Amino acid sequence: MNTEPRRHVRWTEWPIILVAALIGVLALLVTLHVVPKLGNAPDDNAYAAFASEIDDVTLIGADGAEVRWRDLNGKPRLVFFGFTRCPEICPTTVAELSAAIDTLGSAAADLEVEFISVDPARDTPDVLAAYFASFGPRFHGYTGERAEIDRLVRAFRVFYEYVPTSGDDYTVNHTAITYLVNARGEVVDIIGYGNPPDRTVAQLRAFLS
Amino acid sequence: MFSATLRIVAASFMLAALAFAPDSAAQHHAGAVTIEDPWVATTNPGAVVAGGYATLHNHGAQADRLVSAESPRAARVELHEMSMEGGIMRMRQVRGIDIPAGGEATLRPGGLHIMFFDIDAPFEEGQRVPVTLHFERAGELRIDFVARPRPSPGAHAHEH
Repeated sequence: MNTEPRRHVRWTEWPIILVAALIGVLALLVTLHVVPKLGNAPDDNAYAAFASEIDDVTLIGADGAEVRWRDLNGKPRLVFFGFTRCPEICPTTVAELSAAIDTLGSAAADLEVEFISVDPARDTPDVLAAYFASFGPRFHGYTGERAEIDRLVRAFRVFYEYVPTSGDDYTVNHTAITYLVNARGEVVDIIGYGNPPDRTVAQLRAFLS
Repeated sequence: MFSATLRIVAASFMLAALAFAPDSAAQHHAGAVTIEDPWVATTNPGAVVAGGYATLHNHGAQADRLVSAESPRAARVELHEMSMEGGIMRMRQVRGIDIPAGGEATLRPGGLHIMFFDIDAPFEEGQRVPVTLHFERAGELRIDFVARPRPSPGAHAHEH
């Protein structure tokens, strides 16, 4: 509630108003032109902070053994979420990453690829083992308790939902982004679906250097 | 006389062979609908689903609609549409795919497609996957979808 009586602006106040207006315009320009560009890359702070929150998330590997999220740290990794009954996005992502890694050769020697199933009920360790068998030892499929996977989903800000299809079947809508995670477990870059292959190779090269 | 009889017998055998020709003897049209470049994406071992693509041309004066499909290679075949919004892949089953009169419907990666569930074995490059398409007006059409790798979506985006 403003109880101050209305008054006219004195001439000595005009410079102050002008400076304030200039600052306002500058702020607007920064918001319009700088912030959207930052938005293309993940917010470093937001992604870096989550590492400790999910350290103790327990997953189940394709060999059926339990693994803690923190135990996966130590090597650069590409992490993405999907399900094996996904006809297009997931196999394409696997194929594209595999091709980029082949192009990088020895530069990608330490790189691991981790697929987190958002359909753990159907993606059993056996299903994941069969799915990734032809891609070599650096490709890993993980399943687990849905509550545990959901903790990763929230940390990575991934979206997924189950959509019914014919009969009692369902398909899964989900985020189609690959996260570039450094050895400390921090997301440092992302690759969207449909990224041109040469750009993917350049991003991975920068990530690994 | 003998040779004439032989010719008739031979001809009837050929006719019989045609009548009992396997389903893979593909047609390319049913009524006013023709199919251009039917293909399925190759699948990796362990994958149990696959996508099928083609361009459906309707040369008729009336609109038609692809209503269902089936294949001896899959337990179930559905018509689906994929879309990407804000980094999220969305998939939905569609009841049919309209083909306007004198027009076409394009089934392609990233959009409308035929979805194969629980395939009996991986779709390997060069394989011919028999599919029966059911159209509302043009009826039934048996055609082979040829397996080939799906092009890179990023490379595709460059062209547009």
